[in-house]
Parts: sequence; C-alpha cells; structure tokens
Amino acid sequence: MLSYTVRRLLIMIPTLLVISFVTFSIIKLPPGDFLSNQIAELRSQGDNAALEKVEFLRKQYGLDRPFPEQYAVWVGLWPGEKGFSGLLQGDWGWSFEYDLPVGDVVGDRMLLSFILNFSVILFTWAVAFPIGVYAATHQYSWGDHGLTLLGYVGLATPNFLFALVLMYFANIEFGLSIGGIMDPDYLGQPWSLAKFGSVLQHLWIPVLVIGTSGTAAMIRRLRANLLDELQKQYVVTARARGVPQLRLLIKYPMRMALNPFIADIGNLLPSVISGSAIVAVVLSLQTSGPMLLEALRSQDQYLAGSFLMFLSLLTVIGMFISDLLLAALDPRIRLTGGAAK
Amino acid sequence: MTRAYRYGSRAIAIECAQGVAGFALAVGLLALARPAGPLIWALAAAGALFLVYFGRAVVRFLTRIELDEHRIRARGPLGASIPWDEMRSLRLNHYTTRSDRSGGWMQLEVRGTQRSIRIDSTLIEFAGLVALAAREASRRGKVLDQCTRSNLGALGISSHG
Repeated sequence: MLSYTVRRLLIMIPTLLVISFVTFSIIKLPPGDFLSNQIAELRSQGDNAALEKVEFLRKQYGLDRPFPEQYAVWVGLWPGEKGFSGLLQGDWGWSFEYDLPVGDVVGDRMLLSFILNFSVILFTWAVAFPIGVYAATHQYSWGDHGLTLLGYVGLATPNFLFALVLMYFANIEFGLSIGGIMDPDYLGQPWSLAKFGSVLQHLWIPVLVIGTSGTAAMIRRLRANLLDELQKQYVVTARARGVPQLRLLIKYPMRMALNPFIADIGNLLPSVISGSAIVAVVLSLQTSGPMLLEALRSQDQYLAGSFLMFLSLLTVIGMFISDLLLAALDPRIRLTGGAAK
Repeated sequence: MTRAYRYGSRAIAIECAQGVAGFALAVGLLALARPAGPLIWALAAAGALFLVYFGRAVVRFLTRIELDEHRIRARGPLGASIPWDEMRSLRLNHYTTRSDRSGGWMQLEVRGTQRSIRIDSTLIEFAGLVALAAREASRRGKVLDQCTRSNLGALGISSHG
C-alpha cells in the first residue's frame, strides 16, 4: 500500500495545480472583472471617493498585473502586495460583493451546508441500504415490486419540483412556511443551542427533498450490484455447502456490492459542501450553493475561485480516500483492463 | 536448489526518482510558500512518506530474495526469513492508479508466524517466484482467498499448485 499511496499522491499534487490553473482561467475568462463593472457604475454617478477605493483594491489584489502573476499570487506561489498570501497560506482573498474576507463570507454558510448535506448522506444510506438489500434478496416479491415503483417515482421527480410541491401544500393545507434552514430571528446571530435546535427543526424538509432521488438511485444500484454477486458461482457453492444465509450475504456479496459506493466517496465530499444549490434557492436555504451561483454571476472572482478550488480539493481528497479503500478492499486484477507488468 | 531474485535497476531508479521528486515538492512548498497551519502538517506528512518510500527503494536495491524448498528469505537490510512450514498465509494483490484498472503492479505477501515478506512485481522473474510460492502454499494445504486465486489465474498460475 505504500507504493500505491505514494503514486496516488504524486498524481494528486500536479492534478491540484492543473485544477487551480483551470479554475482561475475560467473565472478570468469573461471580459472585465467585478471592479471594472463597479468603476463603470461609479463613474456614471461621479463618485470619486469610491473610485479611489476601487483603484486601491485593484492594486492590492493585483488585478492590474499580468494573468500568470495574478494566478501565482492567488495560489500563494508568488509574493503579492502582502507578501506570500494566497490559498496555500490560508488567505482566500477578498469578496468584492460582500466587502469582506472570503473566509468570513463563507464560514457560517459552509457549516450549514455541511450539516444539511451530511444529514442528506446519512438519510440516504440509512434508508437505501436496508431497502436495497431486501429488494435484492427478495427479488420479484411484492415488496420488491412496490419498492421498485417507489424508487422510480423518486428518481423521476426533480428535487426542486418536489420542493415546490411540498412548499405549496404546506402553505395551502397547513398554513406553514417551510422555507429557510432556521428561524429568521437567528440569521446572522452567533451559534447557540437555540439556534442549533432551530436548524434541526427545519432540517428534515430539505433532507427529505434532497435525499429522495439519491435514495432511490442508491436502492437501484445496490439491488443490481447485489443481484449480480448473489448469482455468482462462489455464492451458489457456499449455499450448497449449507453456509447460513445471513453470514453468506455479509461475508462476500455485500462487500463486493459496496465497491461502487466506496468509489462514490470522491463525489460525496464536495457535495457535502456545495450539493443541492437549486433546491437551496427554491427553499431559501442559507447554504453555500446559492452563494456560489451569485458569486459566479457577479464575477466576484476570489469568492467564486476560492470556493471552486475548495470543492476541487475535496473531490481530489475524496477520490484519494475512495481509491485507497478500494485498493485495500478489493485488490483484484481486472482482466479486461490489461495485465500487470 | 536455491533460487535468487533481484529488483530491476530501472524499476528501483524510477522509485528513487519518485521519492526524491515528491520529497522535493513537499519540502520545497513548505520552505518557499510558507503555507497555513493544516497544510503544513499535510505537506510534512507527505514529505515523510516520500522519504520512507525513497528509503524503501534503497533497501530494495540492496535486497536479494532467495527461495528454496524449505524457506523464503529476503537477504539485505530489514531482511527476514520465513520457513514454508511456518507460513500462515499467502496473498497476491493487484494495484493500479488508473481508473480503467489497466496496467499497475502486483504484490506478493508471505506471512509467517512473526514476520512477513512483501515483494512487488518489479522483481525480475516475479511470476516464477509467485508460482513457486503458490506451489509451496498448496503443498501445505493453505487456503488462498478469492482475490489471490483470481490474481494467480491472471498470471497463468494454478492456485492448486
């Protein structure tokens, strides 16, 4: 495993550098920047004091420098006005739109996103796992057919539509407003037990809305994977030898059927932070997804860039973890993929 | 009859280069960019890992694997010897860093009662060594796991000796 870990790390570092370059290039692709737009607006209003501040920010954040230098300063590989101060040094830059450091803008929303999306993952796994195993071990039973139907309904319903329908019915039938991730009184307040309780009270609706399609998809995949394994020769042999059903199920087929889920960890980690942006907009959730959309729209380059880079970092770390787990759990050669050296 | 095996010098050179490159990158970033708190620890851990990897490549360069009808032995620094009669398990794993699972390398692990010996497929005539080890395991009635049997099959070696 040492060779494997080292080789994966050697791939990971240049990958992150390439991602950071691509991210920065994409952020800079549209003509102008947030400050150019501001300057145009202020010039039309004749506000000279604000114009000076904008020029100060432009100089401080090196927006007047060549592209490669801006990139190197942003990553923290080249000294800027404040010396080495970039992503590597933990300085995410300045959000022009919020007029605050990116870290301060993102902080609270990141935590809320984490709580929400982590709960969604737990919900998905807790519901899908027993149902998937039941559906596979009771193939073509009434229970399997019923759960399959429910799964297809869950898969076919877009999350944002489900959110809209729930909001409509809650409002019309019960007079309830189910938007938001906490009571409006707690917005912007420091964390307390009461605030946390309010988050928990509001959490179940978005968890249900976001988790439904993921749960349905997971049930289908787990059922299909497990059915594949259950029909293999070694399972038939073990069954013929009288190995108890539950022990047989847990020892090999279940482990093999879990491989795709372990491979999914790479995608799970970033979704814990940024998942479900559209549902967050519909349900007015104060999570990071809508903020990222807004930052991209307004060319708030440091906010959007740092956020995208953080998500990429989580993806790469997630892939690294899932690859290590897969290598440890199932180090078999795949003959269709080629032979070992 | 004792058979001796060595790691290929090209493979060792590549491992050394990987270790040095990784270490230089991690330490270079630490020294030049002066990163923030958590990143310092991550880079320091990565640097240490690359250093261990480089050290292991050097140890491999100095190691010779010997095998006869009584035992398997790694001669060199951190060497070990496992009599076949004391072999507890034999595993053959395959690792690849590619998403399509192509290429990659294999690792043979022979576990004794106290020590274990791990041998990578960069060893010259690795398949021959694996075949002999599998035969000894089969003679002593060791049950090989599903993964090892599958990997032995990929090398064209029967898991029944």
